[in-house]
Amino acid sequence: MRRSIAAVALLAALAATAVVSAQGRRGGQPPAPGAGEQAAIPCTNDWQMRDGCAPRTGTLKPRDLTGVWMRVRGATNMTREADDLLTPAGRRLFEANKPSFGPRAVPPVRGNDPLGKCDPLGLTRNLFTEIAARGLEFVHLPDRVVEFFEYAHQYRTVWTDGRALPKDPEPRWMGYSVGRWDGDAFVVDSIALDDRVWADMWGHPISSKARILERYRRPAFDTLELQMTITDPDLYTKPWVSDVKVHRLQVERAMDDRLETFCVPSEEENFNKAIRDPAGGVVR
Amino acid sequence: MRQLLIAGLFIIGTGTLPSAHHGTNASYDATKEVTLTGTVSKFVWSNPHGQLHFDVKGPDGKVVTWGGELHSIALLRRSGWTRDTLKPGDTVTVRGNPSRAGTPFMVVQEVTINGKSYFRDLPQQSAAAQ
Repeated sequence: MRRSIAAVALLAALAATAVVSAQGRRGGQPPAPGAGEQAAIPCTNDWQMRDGCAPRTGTLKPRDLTGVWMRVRGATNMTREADDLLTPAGRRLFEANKPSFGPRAVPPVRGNDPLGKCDPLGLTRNLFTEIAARGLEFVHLPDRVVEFFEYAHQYRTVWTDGRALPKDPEPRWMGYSVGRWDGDAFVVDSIALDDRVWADMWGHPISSKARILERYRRPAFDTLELQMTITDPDLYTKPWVSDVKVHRLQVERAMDDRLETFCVPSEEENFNKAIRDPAGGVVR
Repeated sequence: MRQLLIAGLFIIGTGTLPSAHHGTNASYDATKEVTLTGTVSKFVWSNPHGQLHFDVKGPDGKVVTWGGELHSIALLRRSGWTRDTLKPGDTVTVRGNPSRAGTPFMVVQEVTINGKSYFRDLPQQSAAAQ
């Protein structure tokens, strides 16, 4: 049974890759408004498979990202290339961060990931990792776009009413964001991250002076692309640019119902004592 | 205890573990797998990860309580688990990757009860969360 699921997933992933490549060959042009039904794209997500792997089809409206999206392709961290860009100050912070993911992973009982205390993950960690495993929901309102993240039941506001970024903002866990449409791309500009967050699960640092640019495109009805650029001159010698991450629109029943995945300190403490710490060799 | 581990361990070739959101995979040895049969003493349906505690009787008759780390509740639910999947007293066969520290803990990959298997992860889900 498990082998069957894996085989189906592999075939679906290969088929999806072919479709995305085909979109790339079309020159990345967005479908014309009102283009109507899009060709069905094979599912690559197991939760979709559990519901019969029915791809979502429909009319692609211009400038509309509404829906729940799940990462199907793309890195979930900044990758090792970012290491080479660290300034001396950035490297000091990087080395002080003891992650439990990636090439420097240590058992969490011996690390210092803010996640282990239920601290908010911040904007970039949500975008890198959380929407790969738990999805991201876009809701359009007249003056803003709201993004909901399932992990920790968090959300962020992207102002689309034409306001400028504030001059001297208070740092926030999710930053302060404004968005605008650039052709078929929704471009989000964010500043004022609280520098207690890590940029990613691998412990890359990020400061309150960082600027994060997100560029979203929807080349097909059930496909959402995201590319990120992080500019943080105190910690990185030049802007770091991500790969183009691909997300699939989720079918109803499986993922549209956002579940409560709060990080509850009392539950975290119980888990750490009962499992995390002794599994890591520490019994208190 | 040592006999129990030797009896249950065998080497597998994957070298990777499905992601544990709180980074706990770093605590487990992805190159080893243990399969044990025992009796559920406690099943905790709670975030950040579910917990399965079960008692295993070794060849010497000594009972060792193992702790199994499961996925978060949302991901377990999407993999077919419910809060009623397991209860104290159930006989289960549990497959997982053991603690690197040698303590009786594992990250659970599969639980079989009454001939039905429940998996920690489905393949695409684990790949996406690495």
